[in-house]
Amino acid sequence: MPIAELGYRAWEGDRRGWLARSLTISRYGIRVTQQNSKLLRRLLWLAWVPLVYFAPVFFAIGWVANPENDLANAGWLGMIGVELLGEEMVEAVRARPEVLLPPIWSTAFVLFFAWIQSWLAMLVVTIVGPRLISWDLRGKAFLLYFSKPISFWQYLVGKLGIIQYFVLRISLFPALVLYAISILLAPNLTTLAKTAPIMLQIVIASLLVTIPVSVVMLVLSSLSKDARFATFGWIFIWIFGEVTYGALSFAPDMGNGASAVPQWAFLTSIRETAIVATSSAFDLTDRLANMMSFLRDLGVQEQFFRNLSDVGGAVGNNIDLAQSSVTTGTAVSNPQTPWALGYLAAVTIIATIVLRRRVQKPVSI
Amino acid sequence: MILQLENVTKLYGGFKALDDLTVSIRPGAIGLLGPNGAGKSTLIKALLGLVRLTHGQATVLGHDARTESRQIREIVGYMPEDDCTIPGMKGVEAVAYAGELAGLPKQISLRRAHEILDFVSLYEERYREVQTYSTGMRQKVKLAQSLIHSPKLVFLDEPANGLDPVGRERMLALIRTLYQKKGISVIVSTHILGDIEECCDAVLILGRGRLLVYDEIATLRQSTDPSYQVRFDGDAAAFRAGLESRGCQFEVIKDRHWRVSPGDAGQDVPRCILEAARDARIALRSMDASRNTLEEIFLQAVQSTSRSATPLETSFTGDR
Repeated sequence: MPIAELGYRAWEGDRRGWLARSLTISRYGIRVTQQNSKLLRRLLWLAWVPLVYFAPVFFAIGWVANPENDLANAGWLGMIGVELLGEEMVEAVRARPEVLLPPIWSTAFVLFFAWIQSWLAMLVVTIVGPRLISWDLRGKAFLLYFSKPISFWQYLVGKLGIIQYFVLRISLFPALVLYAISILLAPNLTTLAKTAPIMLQIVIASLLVTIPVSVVMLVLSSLSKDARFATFGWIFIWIFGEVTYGALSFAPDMGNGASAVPQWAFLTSIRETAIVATSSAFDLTDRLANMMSFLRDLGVQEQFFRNLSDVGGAVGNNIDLAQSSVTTGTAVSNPQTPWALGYLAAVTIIATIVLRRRVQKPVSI
Repeated sequence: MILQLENVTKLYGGFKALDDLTVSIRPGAIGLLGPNGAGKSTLIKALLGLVRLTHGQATVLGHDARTESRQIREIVGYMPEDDCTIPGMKGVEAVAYAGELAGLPKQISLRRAHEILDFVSLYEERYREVQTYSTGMRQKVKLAQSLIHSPKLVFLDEPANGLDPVGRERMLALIRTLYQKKGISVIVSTHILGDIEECCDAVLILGRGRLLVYDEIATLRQSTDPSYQVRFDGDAAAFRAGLESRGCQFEVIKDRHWRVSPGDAGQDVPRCILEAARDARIALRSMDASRNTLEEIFLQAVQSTSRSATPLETSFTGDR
């Protein structure tokens, strides 16, 4: 029988579950987004470029940290590692890799996020996000979704999934590859076991950054049928936040040695706030303090930290806190962490409430 | 019963969009009629669970619209009046997407999308983006999207809107087929009375959120009017005299097109007409018993509500 003569037939079968329907929204959204943006496709490739720098760094650190490798005949890879860590530090790492590698890698991962991936993530959100709901508003697609057995939460998860996919592709996937590379030259399997939580922390850090950012973007996208307004709104929030944070960070000294930079300054930049949250996901302060304490016991100069002394921002703040912790001999927690996490949680909750009202209004009138 | 409404009321602020509706709807093809603001769209959205009822209870295929809206949407299809397009999607993708949203597995959804697009006669065009479609093609895609998950009841909101006469005929034929051959109950909300007459067995008329009429169209059209309409050629004055002498009353509709009705004695109108025509030596061209049209039924129903309130806005198009 030709297919044209089959006509309409009833179907009785098992329906798919809650998450599968959200994933349907994500899957189609990802495909349509990818088809429509050449810039996005290029950016996804660009996200791997930082690995060209970070992969050899991780590779080199792992290589020199392995006591079985002969440093006397170290090639260029070994020299990079020695150069990065300093000779004293290299000896310390070779003596106790299981203690020193995790904090080194944590610092490197936070730097990887802070310096490169956070900027790329903001850029990807700018490209992907504005159309996600504004096009549904323009095409009156809400009735298509909500006349089917789809709830607001399934719709939200589906739409978030689209942004998450692209943001994670430029942040999580390269980070996981970086981790795999760092494990490649690990001295032994004990190191793998010791550093395994880093993989989970990479995932948590990525979600901490991407979920609030994505929900805020979706709210902006739901405010107008014209995606350009969402783009401008997002760029305004992003750039205005960066400029404000930059201005506050470079405020002149008070003259009495106290910094004039307010503790809350990082909250003006959603990206910087995300980095603070990321460093807390990596337990950066504690790990750095442990490492510094261990190095002091060995009598090793903290060359590694002197190299990072001018980092500034969230990472610099963590290094300062760790040094203070070691000096005073008391545990110091990062006071910015609860603020950052609370801020991101509040932004996510408020944005979700606004989004719910914006999405349900067109179908309930 | 496919729908059971008990004292259903929906308030938007102080405005009553639905006012104490109580009705039970049997399976079939049902026309949903009413002027603008009558509450048709609100009723459909309330039955789909998209709008929360203020008072009353509504059940759709045995499921409570308040608490089981998700189950309702699993077994009910909805074809909205507005275009629902997602930029960048081809016709077949848009239909398969609707199926997957309803919970169909990916492969089955794609297969059914092709089958249903065959059913609605959208062939090679299904591989083009929906944004490039004509109005008729978009209507077909929306109908296919409402049918993909194998519903037992579909709400069609203005399904023939914007279609040319040929497209409209095809759409109405499809709607007839849905109930008559596929066993899917259909509720068609439209302003076009002719569409309801062509494809529905029953009609539900709303006015100001209240139920005005719900009955079989055939029953409603059964005439209680004993008058006849005649068209003739010849001496009108002589014909008039003949009718008057037999006690019949008449009303001139247009030149030699009259409506003749019995007088107080309840005369046999056809007999009077034939005798008067014979005596006046005129040629009768036609003689038809008066019949209620849906348009008349609709107007009577709507006017009955407007007598007790301010005039209703009647914006239907009685193009039949």
